Amino acid sequence: MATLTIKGISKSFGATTVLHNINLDLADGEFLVLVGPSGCGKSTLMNIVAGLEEPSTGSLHLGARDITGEAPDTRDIAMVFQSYALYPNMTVAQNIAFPLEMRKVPVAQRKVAVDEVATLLQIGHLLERKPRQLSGGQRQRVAIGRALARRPSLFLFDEPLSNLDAKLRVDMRAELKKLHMATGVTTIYVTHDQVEAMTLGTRIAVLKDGQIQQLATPMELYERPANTFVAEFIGSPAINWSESQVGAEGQIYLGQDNSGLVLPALAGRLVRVGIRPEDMVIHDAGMLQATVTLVEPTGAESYVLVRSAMGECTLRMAGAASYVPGDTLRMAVASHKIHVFDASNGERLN
Amino acid sequence: MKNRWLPALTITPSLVLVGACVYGFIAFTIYLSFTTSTLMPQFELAQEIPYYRLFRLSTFALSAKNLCLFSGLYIGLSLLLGMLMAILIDQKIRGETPFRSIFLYPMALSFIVTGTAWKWILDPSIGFERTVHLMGFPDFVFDWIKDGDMAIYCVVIAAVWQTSGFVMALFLAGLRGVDTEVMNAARVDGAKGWDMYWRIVIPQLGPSFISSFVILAHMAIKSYDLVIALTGGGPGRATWLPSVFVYQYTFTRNEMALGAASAVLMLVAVSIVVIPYVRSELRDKTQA
Amino acid sequence: MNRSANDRLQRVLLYAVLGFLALVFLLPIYVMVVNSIKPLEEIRGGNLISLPLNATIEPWLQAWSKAQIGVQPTGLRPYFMNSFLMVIPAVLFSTLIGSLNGYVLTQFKMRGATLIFGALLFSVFIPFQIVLIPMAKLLGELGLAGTVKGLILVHTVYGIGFGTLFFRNFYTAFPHELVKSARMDGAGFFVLYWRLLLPNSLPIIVVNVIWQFTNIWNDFLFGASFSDFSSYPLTVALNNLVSSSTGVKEYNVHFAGAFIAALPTLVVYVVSGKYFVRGLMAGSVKG
Repeated sequence: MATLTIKGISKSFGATTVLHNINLDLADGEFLVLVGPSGCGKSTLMNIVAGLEEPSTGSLHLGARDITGEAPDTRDIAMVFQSYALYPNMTVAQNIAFPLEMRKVPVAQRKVAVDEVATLLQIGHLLERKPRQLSGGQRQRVAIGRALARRPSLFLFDEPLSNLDAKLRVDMRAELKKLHMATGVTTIYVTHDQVEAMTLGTRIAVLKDGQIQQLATPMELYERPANTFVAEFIGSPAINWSESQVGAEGQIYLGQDNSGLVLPALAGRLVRVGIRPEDMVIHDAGMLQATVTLVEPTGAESYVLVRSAMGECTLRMAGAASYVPGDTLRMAVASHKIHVFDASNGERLN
Repeated sequence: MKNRWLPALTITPSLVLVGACVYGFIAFTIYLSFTTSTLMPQFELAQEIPYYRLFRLSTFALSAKNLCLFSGLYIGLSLLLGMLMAILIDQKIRGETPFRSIFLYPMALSFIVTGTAWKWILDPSIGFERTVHLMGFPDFVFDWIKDGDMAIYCVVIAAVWQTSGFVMALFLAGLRGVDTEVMNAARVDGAKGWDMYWRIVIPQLGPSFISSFVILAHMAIKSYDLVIALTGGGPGRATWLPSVFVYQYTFTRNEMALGAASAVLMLVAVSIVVIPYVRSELRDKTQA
Repeated sequence: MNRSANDRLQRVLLYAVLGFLALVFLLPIYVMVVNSIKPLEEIRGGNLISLPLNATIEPWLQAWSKAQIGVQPTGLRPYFMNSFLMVIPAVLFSTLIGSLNGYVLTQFKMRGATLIFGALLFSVFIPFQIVLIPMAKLLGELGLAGTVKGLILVHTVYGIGFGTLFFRNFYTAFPHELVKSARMDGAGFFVLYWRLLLPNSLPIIVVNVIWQFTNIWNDFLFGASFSDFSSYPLTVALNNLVSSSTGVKEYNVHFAGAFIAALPTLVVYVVSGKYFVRGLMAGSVKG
């Protein structure tokens, strides 16, 4: 059990800087998700925390210990890799016991640890098999078991679910969450899938181009994104955008229609306005007129694509939509659901 | 497709040529090994099966014994040296390409060239022994190549020099094929240095071992050019191998049936090593 | 820090061992070259690794055009030519046949394709002593005994296995979608081969050419068995030169001759680099 303090970590490869001044404080038992598009630096940050790569600047503290210069095996950190990285020439039991063997734990104790982990992850019947005889989901459990057996202070997960098929991914997500609740080990979890990030994390750090865009709880990220990147990255279908100039008295326009939101401090500025699909409500007295271009039913909900003065938008509504392309409708949006960002730097303004 | 017969037609010449010149000829030679052939092929079956005569011949026993000795040392030393060179080169050294090129160039040479060069290097009157004498150690002796008991080891030396680069290339590819993430996982789990190689990397080199072994074994059984160039089979008959026996008995001593029998035995030896290997290659490739 | 001092020591040891091995590997070639330009007295009086005091190219001239090999004192030159005349057609044929076989075995559903490939593959490993007698008979019947043409035939036939191996493995990995799409566009049997597969086969053609060239040039057994003194390939001539038991042993001429014999394949090796290695690996590594 420990806290992790990442202070001022930067990493450059020659002239290219991959991580810029990363600062993160993890509380004991926290489940932090690092999410971002490919190339954002999340895997590099993971490798630095694990000790597989050295940072160009900055420090790492696990609890009170400074682990910045230490080799991977003395850091008391365990890692689950994207490809599971199981040792192909060893059985499942040997795989799980390997880190304990490297620490010279006596054989009897190793067996106890392996059995415990196997029971927890329901892989007891696989202990004598080799990795090539296992399915993807089974291999993943073995990888988690190998990390668990060491009872580390910190867990690192590097996109562990991306190699699984969609249904298995959803099941494993729930299992991982339950596992965390049962063991309470501080965890950093890397993914590019924002749905995983939202469902698993106690806090999420959104990364782009080696910098943290926002560090917050899932709901905070969703309801108050700090910039246009976060607003667009989190949430599916993506947020609807519209560019406009704020009126002389601070009126925020959607297309040419007044949204009803007034922010006098922003008078005259060029802004990007974002509205989430579920916040655009179909209402006969709504301020915006729109024409339906496409209807996408998904069963529990429908996405209705429309064209309006705002441009192309997606609306989200429950159940089946009775619209067909060509229909006209009116939409309204509550003022407090409108996100306003600066048009040039993308920063949140409201 | 009306040209359904074209593919079959295209491969037929090869099938005919290989079928006849390889398998047909093998059958022919097998038959000959039961006949009374001496100078020319005879088709009359011998009263006493030539194989029995073969096993009683001291020259054949010597050839077989030499083969076992030679193969064991040759394969073992090539594997060790090749693996060592591969591991050394894999240590992220500077100048990897020149080193690799140096270790591998002997494979481009004919065994005759290799034999010629090593013949004089190992010769006591102008080679290694003499060089050491001139350096001030007049009592140094290294005349293995002239010594009936030791000459076969000279063949081993030259052969290992020639092919350990090949083993190195195979192992290097194997080493590089080990998944980096698995090695990262081992680092996080605490494996370092020797542990890493012994527990994680080397166990995954199985395929490289097998490939090397099969190729080396089949080359050892077929070794002929090197022996002829290096020692001519001598001194006397001290470095005779079955391949030399075949040639000598067929063309010089006019005992074609015995030569044929020896050749057949060579084929059997090669088959034992190669057939399982070919079968597993085929299974792998067709599944890919 | 103690860790880095230890590391540095390990590095020094590493380079020392590698350097030593490199010297051992280079020794024979060095000996060959250095002693091929020494006058004979120097070799007998001195040692093999010393540099020449009175360098001379006479041994090379001897080896190339004056040495007694077989009946006439012609040097190695005519036999060098024999080897070339033998190698080039054999390599061409083997590339053509190998590529056609590889094509047929991979792009068409053929019953027994695996068995055929297995039979061809196995033919590579047989000890060639076992075909010497019947092949000699065949060459005699065809009137090709003791000729360069006969050697071309022999090397072509026994090169089919390797050629097929290279191309078959290469074409197995060839993108199926490309072939399917070409077929749907109407490409027939030869068009597919000539216009699609072959033009995209350059890497494996190079590998095959290098491998076959090296093997056929370096061959001794077939040369010794099926040629006569007019059609000896270079390896047989060299062996005759070196192993003659009469007269004075002219070591320098032997070394010069050996180097002449080694030169073409060494040049190919140096120039082809990674393709040479690919050829070595193609038959050996699984998957």
